[in-house]
Amino acid sequence: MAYPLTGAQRTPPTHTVELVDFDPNLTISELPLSGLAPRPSVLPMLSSIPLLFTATIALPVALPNQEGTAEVQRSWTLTADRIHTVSGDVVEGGAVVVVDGKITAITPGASEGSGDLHVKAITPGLIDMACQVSLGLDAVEETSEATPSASILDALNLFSPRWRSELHSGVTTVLATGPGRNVIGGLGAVVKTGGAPLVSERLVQGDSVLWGTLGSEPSLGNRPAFGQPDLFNRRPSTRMGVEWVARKTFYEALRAKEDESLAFLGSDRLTAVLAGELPLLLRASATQDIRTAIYLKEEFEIPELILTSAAESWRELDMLERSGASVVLPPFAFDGRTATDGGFFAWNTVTLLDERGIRFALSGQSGTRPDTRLAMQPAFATRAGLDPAKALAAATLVPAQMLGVDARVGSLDAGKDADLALWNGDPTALGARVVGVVLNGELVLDPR
Amino acid sequence: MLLSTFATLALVPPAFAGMSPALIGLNSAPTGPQDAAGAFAVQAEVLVLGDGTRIEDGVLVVRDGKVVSAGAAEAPAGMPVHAHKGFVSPGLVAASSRLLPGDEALDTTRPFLPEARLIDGFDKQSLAVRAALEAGVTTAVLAPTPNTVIGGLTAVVKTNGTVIKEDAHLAISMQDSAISGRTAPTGYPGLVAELRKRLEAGEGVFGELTSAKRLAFVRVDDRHDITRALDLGREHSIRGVLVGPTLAGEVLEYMKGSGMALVLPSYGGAEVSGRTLESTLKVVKSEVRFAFSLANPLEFRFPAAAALRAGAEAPAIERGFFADGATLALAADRVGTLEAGKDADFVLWSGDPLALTSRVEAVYIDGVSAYRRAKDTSDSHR
Repeated sequence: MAYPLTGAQRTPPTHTVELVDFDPNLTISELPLSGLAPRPSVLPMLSSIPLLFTATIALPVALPNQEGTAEVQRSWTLTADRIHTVSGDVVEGGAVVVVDGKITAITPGASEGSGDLHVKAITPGLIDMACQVSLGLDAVEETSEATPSASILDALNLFSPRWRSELHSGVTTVLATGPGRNVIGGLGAVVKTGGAPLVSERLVQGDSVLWGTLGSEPSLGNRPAFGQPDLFNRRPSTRMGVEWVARKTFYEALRAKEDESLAFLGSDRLTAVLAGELPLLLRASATQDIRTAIYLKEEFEIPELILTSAAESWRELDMLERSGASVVLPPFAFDGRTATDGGFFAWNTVTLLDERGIRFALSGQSGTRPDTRLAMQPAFATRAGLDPAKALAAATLVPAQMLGVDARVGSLDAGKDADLALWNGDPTALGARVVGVVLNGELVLDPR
Repeated sequence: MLLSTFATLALVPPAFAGMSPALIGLNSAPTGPQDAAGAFAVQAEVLVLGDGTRIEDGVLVVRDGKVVSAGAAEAPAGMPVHAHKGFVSPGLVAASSRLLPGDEALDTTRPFLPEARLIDGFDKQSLAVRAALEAGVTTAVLAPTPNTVIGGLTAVVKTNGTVIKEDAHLAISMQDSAISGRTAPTGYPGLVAELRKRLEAGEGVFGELTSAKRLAFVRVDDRHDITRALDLGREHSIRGVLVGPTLAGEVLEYMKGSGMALVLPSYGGAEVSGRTLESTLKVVKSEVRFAFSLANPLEFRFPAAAALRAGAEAPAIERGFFADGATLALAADRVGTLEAGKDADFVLWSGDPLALTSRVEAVYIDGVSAYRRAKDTSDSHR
């Protein structure tokens, strides 16, 4: 069974829809709900205290990020020893000026104490393209192996505490996709990791990639039909079968493009991939899966291919360079072993990819161990021999560019969202960690 | 079949007190005596009107199965008056229930059953219906289990078997039990996509939903189910009720202006956590309209009593049981409050209906005694 369109660029639901008045009895009052009414700010009270204190204490202008606190401060002047803009040079001893949730200026020559708070380093909020916060199998439509119309936006649990864990580790934006049970899984979306737990509040960009999975994952647990087949007697059951499903799906999309009567649910998304309007993101860890992905790209002339979990990309440098595909690397592991298909992720992969000019991003895959978090990856990449600036870009601006959201996030430039990671040291040094986080101008993790 | 029907009847001897004249006089509740015009009055220590107000020494006047008046006024001269030592309230309304026998509420053949009608599975003589009546529930919404995505049309019935509305809400399940079977859909994207496809096509009941001619009865569980349902509801201008979420109190702010009301879940003493209770309390204190669902009749009043004990206001709870329950059950024109012109469905309680220690003494539906608690037989065992 195929699944219907979610709408190519479906706009997220807004909260201003006027509903037909069906039954006046059912109208829910617009009065402030009990317990949700804005609490009086402490600021007027503080400022009404006579000059007694104001001379000696800096006013705590930051309201704590508490439930029920209506007013959130979204304007700041944050100073740092080093500001890594990523898009430009490092600013030594400067300030990031944030007004109403947007960056308005990066100013040099600001010293500690001249702003609201001071840290060792400020970088853009990190961007993880391999976010694995999901509802598990509830996020997969398993009745088909190819569900190009399924949108991850319909299967997010924004109440999961794992979002907060991502946010507090410095990751402010992620590409959300689902588990790899299907060969063609569906449409991934770019969302922020914090804010009100509503899709409309967190969405940066819907339908950002069409994601799929190669290797053993889509065939895991499948078995050919015997007796009375049901949903779980499903194909594919081998790598060959996975590749066959992927090829068949794109072939059918090509036919649908020629003949409208052959269109199927989601075929327009596949056509968009073939036209280069939507990147194809394929999970491929082992070397043969990476090769398969590139063969598919070349066979169907897919303009934009991103390989994710691509642990063994170091083995296929020639093909990667030739194909122009981008790569998302898994988190570094001390022994190089990764969870997916036993792919071996060599530490010098980053330098090899860099030497060949292959675009790559680092990822944390929403790991819970500190060493697998995205915030640690630039330091590991630096230790593996990569230029520190490039290492930091691979966790910020490069993924933003791959996803086409670099106009909003990924670097510290005037006009962009004020998503900042605040560090207690050099972000590309192993000893440093994220001590503060600003999301859309809100100080969600206070370093003080 | 015949045998089981007899067995059912055998278990409920004092079913219709009008047929049991021997009981008259054993209880203070009115049973038979009516004036020439078929009218009688009940005087209660406290008359609970159902809209949140209570009247001490109130009088309820009933004629031809309808309420003539309910208030502090005296009964008309010459009319038989039955003084009840206790409270009298409207019949409780269950805005969701499990009153279909056995597997009748769960059709596993297909996940989308927009043509199904729950009324077709209703057995008014079932023990479940009898138990609900004995718990003081006079009106209930028949709902399917949450395992089917589109479970069919709910029905609104009285526990004496009267059908108020054969095709009420369209039952939709957006919780994980709708996708955990071995049939499509198996995931939220498929679930939402299938619903969206039908809503966009707008045929039949789906068109009625999007044009606000029919209300949705949406089963949800987790908080993300709620926001997903609200998003889809806003996308297609759907109104209705969200049924069964335990933590709705934590996401109330997103329900503002959504056109959705709540049917609180049923839970017993051991199941309620502090967080669930806190959430219930927030709902009760909010502006969001809410009612209660019926699983086990013995526990029907438990969530309300727990919320009351935690600090909720009694009038709000009463509205949930009576007036708002009837509104959400689409039966507010007939039941839910004791006011002139409405059906004379009322319950005689030993005490405050919101107190778990109070017992149902008698239940009247359409002015006729439908249940009378048997005289305390403890003496006879001596």
